[in-house]
Amino acid sequence: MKRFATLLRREFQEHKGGLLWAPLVVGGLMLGFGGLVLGLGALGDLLWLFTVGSGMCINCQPLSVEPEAFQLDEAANLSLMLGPTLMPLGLTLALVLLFYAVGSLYDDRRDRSVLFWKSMPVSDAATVLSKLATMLLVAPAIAAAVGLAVGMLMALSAALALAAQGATAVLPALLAQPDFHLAPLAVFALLPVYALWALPSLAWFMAVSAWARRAPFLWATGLPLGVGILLSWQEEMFDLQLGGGWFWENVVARLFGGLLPGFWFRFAGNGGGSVGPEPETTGLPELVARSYATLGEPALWSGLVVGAALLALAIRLRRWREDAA
Amino acid sequence: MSTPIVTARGLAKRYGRRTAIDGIDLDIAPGRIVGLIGPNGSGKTTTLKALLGLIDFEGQLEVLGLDPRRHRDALMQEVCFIADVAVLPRWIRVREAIDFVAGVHPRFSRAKCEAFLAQTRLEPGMKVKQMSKGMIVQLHLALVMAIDARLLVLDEPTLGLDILYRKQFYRDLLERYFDEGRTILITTHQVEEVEHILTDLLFLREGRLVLRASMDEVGERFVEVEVAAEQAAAARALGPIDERSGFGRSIFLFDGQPRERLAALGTLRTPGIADLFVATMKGSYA
Repeated sequence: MKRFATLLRREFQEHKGGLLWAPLVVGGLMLGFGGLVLGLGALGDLLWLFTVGSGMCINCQPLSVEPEAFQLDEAANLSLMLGPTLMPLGLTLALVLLFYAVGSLYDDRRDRSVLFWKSMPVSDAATVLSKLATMLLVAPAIAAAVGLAVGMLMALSAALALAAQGATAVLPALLAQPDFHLAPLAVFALLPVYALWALPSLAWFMAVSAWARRAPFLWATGLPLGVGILLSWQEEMFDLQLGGGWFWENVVARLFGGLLPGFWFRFAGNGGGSVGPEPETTGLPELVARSYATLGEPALWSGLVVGAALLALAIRLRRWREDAA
Repeated sequence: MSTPIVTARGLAKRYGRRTAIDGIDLDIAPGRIVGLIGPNGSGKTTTLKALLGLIDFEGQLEVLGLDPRRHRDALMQEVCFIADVAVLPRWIRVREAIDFVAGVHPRFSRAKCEAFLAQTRLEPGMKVKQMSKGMIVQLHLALVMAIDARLLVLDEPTLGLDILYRKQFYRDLLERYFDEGRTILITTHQVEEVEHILTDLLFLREGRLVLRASMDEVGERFVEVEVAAEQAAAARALGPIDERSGFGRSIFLFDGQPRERLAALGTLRTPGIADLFVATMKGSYA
């Protein structure tokens, strides 16, 4: 256990940039721009700005004397700002993990430091799994924590700015919103779902990373894209049915989409077709429930089987790849 | 303690059609410092990789009584290696490297490592990418010497270092690390620098061991004779394995000739390993 913790810490030290600084910088930028908008808005009538923005204005005129109802609606809107806040961080996470995984078992072979890692009494399975665990658990947890912090800070500062303008009912109403307090629970409850859906993609990138002699990124992305293009071209050319559509849908889209948080909603019964948690239309508890419902999907389990096979391959390649020695 | 550290019988490795090592028999006893010496491409590194369980091979091989292919993780608890300089990850800090080894290696002593580092100019917060080659080797050596291992494998450990670091490296190794319970296996090109510390010599040529002897045996078997020009023909008749000349005299290298007979020809002396190496490897690149 102590050994695995050491391996996780080593991963974090090597990848501090992607794991910690990338979400912090993105979160900081969002706070900066959010603050700028709030500051500019505070020059005029904030509540009007917000209600126009959310399509709730009636006459679209500055409401100098705010009815209580508008303020309550506004509080509900603010608590949902958490959803949009998580999107840029989710995208950042997906990009970080893509590059992390592709380099995970290649970079140290290129600079030969693999010889140092291999001189330690650590099994290749433990090495591969520590990298996977960092990507599946540590990285999303940090991104989620940063996203929640940014979202809450934004909502609170908006409410405070409104209060400064006399809309004093917004802040207490915001704090009374159940969703505002449930959000951290809901987001962290979704992390296991994310890990399960993202595993096959990461396993593929890691297997290629362990296998490629050079240019693992090109192999990892080019191979599935190339096969897809070849299949589609053959189908067009010879008027055949080779399953090109199926391949694009279930392999290519799954491979790249799997790293995006919320990807699983494609497989969630009624909400099919769109990526993203659609927080405007769904309450948080329902969102979590729908996410967990996707764990019964055959698509998830077939992906996990493929992912496990790819991981076993990655471990074997890590052990015996001759240029890794 | 007399159980051999390494036993190999018919150890071979082929890459496709190319044979990297071709049937090596080897026994290394504990408490020895063994030099594995050979020209480029003679199979030195391949042999070491097989010992360390990094590659598959043919034949029999046991290291500390274990098959390195199947028990590499267990083996690495008692075997250390420094493969070449500059294989430490460039992003790692001194402090992080120590924490890592302390976290994964049960036989690592943090106190020993820090005592060794205190004698260098390395700082805990320093990153490998800021260090010179010599400093990287110092860090690597500090990490390795703090591990209570039975076999230390060094593959060209001083390549690319200046002479001060090279001398220091071997001095540290001898004075602060080596004892009768440990065994060191070194490959190197810089023969002159290791010849005084070696107890055993292995010459590898085209994947085969062409010389396997202790340094004492080498001293008994091989004799160098400095012969005046008029005696040269007589010396040549005794079948020297090498001949070179300088300052109007010829120097002949003999393998297993009785000393009394050679003494009549000129001054006797023990050959340097470098000369022995050159004589043994003649024609390797031809």
